[in-house]
Amino acid sequence: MNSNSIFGGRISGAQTVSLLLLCSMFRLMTMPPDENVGFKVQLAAAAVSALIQAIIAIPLVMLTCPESGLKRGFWGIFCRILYCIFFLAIAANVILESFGFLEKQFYRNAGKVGVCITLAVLCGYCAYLGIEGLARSSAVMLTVFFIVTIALILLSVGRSDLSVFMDRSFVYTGQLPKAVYKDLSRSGEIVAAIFLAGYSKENIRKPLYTFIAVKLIVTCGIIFAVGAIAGRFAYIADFPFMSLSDFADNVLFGRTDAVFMAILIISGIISAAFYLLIASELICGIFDVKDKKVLLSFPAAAVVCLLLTIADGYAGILCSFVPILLLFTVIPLIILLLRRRKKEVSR
Amino acid sequence: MTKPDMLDFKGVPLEKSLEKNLENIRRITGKSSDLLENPIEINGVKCCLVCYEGMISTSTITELILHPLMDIDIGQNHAPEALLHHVKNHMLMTIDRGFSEDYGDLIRRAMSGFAILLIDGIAEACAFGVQGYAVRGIDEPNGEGNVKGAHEGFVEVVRTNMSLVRRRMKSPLLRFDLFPISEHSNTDVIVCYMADRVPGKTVESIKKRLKSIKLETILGSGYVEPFLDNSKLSLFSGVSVTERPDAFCGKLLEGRVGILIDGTPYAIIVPYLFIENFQTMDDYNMRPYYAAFIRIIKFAAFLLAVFLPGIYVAAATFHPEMFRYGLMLKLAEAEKDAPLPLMAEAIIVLLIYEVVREAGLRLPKNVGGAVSIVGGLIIGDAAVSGGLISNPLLVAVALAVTASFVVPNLNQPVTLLRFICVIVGGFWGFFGVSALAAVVLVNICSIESCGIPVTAPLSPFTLKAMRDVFVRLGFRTLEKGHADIGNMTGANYGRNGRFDEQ
Repeated sequence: MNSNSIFGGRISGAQTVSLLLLCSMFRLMTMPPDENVGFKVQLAAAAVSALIQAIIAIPLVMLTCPESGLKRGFWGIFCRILYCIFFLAIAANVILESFGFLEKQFYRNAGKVGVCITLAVLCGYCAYLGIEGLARSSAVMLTVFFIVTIALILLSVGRSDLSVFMDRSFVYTGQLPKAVYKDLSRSGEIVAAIFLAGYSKENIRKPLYTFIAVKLIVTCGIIFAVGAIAGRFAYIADFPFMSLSDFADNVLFGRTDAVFMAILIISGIISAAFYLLIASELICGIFDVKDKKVLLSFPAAAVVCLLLTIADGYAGILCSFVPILLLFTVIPLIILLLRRRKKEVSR
Repeated sequence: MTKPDMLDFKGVPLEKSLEKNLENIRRITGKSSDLLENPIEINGVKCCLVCYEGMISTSTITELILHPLMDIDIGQNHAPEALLHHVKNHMLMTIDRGFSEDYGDLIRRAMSGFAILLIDGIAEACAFGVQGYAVRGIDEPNGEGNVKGAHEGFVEVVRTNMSLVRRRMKSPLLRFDLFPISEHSNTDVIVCYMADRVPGKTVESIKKRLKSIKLETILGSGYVEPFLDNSKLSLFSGVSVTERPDAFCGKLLEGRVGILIDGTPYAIIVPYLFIENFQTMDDYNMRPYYAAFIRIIKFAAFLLAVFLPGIYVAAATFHPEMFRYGLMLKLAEAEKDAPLPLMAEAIIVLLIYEVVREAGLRLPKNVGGAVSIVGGLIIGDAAVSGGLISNPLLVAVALAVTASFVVPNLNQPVTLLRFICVIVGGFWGFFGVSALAAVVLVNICSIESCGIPVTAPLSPFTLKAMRDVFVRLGFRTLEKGHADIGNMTGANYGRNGRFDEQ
């Protein structure tokens, strides 16, 4: 994961942003509704969440080669295990959310184990192809995502109604902190920035803050569009983002739900593969294996990911905001302080 | 001294004695019937002219070799060294000539259409290029036709192909490096490149890979391509072939390396980007707006060729709500009497098409028409009339297979992906098709050729190179800076030898 990454590969700052952004967009697509939180509160929550993410990223951006701080000692391996569990959990969560989407929207009788195995195997294969393949494909997929989203919005704009944003009957009763916490809990992709620093050709600071800024803009845009077009229907729809496709009028298709599913599945596979790749790197780092043995790490990661998908609920807890804060801020902060102390002592 | 035999003669030096040399040559070649030996005496020195029948031009050898040799007069000096010196320094005879000091080189030259002059007392042979074997004339390429471009294509003789390239690129920076490869066939290959566009490391890496090929014979470009391709498990490749000298030259100018192989009219180009499968020479002979239109048609055709049957099966089986109401009723009406599931129908139709297509390729031309009638009318029409296959499915499949001919370079992966798409669409609907699309996308994006991502310049994005991707801008714009492949974003063209690392 540093310049001597086991899997090799280098990606640019733009590819770093697109990879993180695609992971974030997947979480946005599978975001569940919350009828207690108005759209104005959701917009505010997105902004506050972005601000918090920018602040808690400070220790990371002050570190150079953050992952090289995880040395081979007891604490280094312990931290690697924590990160590994986190990424396996978040990969499992992505697969679970993909299955949940398929089950609720299209395939009511779909077998959970079968679908999750299929997705885990495909994600393991995509992870095996390396970070460069995932980064480039994320750029392509993100472009498709934006084109399709803009098309859905334009096709639905005739049905938009901005009164939901001027609804004076909505009473604010302190939903903002909960909404912010919920948004932060669905922002696990920022932890991956620690390891993307090792793949990136440039310093992680600019791509990370670019990602946070773009994510805020896109999230607010989509929340606004969903609110304006779907309105209160978005509160009861299983997937509010998908409700845009319910309202899209076009001459080609009767409904565009399946198009939305295609985007979601492809984004989910790339996201989960990305997390599996990092988890495999960590497994290799824990057991100090390289070369051909590395190939074993992908099935291993996929199997563990699969087990977490079956143990429903635990995956979501393992990648909520508290673990994110610990892994994204606390550990890098500790490494930063230890390095500074070491520098002072050596003087 | 080691006596050479038919298995072990490379590197064995020639003898001074003419008789021993001839004896060794007969041992190596097993007194092959096409080996001609013509003993002569030149200026009192015993010599022998050795060549292979059918490889040389008798009129050329008579005029350029035999007559001048018979007219040699170097006075009273009958030493073989004097004769050799005279032939080397005072007689030209042919433009292409060389001197062999070992049996390996001698046999290779003889089999390449050289006439070998052996001189008694000299452990060195003179070789004169008098090739006269039968060759096919320069013709328009079969698979890469065009409307307004040149109608010349490569032929099977590598030196003729070299001249076709040189004629179009009269630049001293265009380099040709010729060397033989493979153990038994000793096939001549020529590595072509522009010296100012290709890093030396890349050329050396490619040459190294070619020389390391251990195959016994090279009979076509397909034998060599896998050794240059890094995408071992992918359906797509970072190596391509072309029959067109003009396309070949265009690629060389963009900083690629071309490989001409003796015995095949297909020249290899490496690295090769995915987007180039949609570019043809005709694009550059049309007006930019029309070229852009055709490019977009090609991209759409590729997607149709791969996904249309699979999407149709998936939508009709699992997602009928995708169709508009009127269309859905028509499709339901057409499918209601079909005896087989939609997926099975689609696979059967695709298989029938593949069988008919392959039969059409192998059959002699005078019965090819009969195959078209049998395949198209009898099978297609009868199957639909009999209710075995539905019309909408036939339309979807026919459109997909026709679209695949728009991008002939991708015919192989498209064919296979089409089948897989139908199967996953039939079993898992849009989820299956989407999962397949994801895997194929990541697979293509992970391929690199000579350190260049094959998805360039789309991803990694290079704005300047986009002038010739989805659209083809006018030449007044394109002339402002050439599109060098080494300058693309994310390109690692020979900078750290990554071609070897993969």
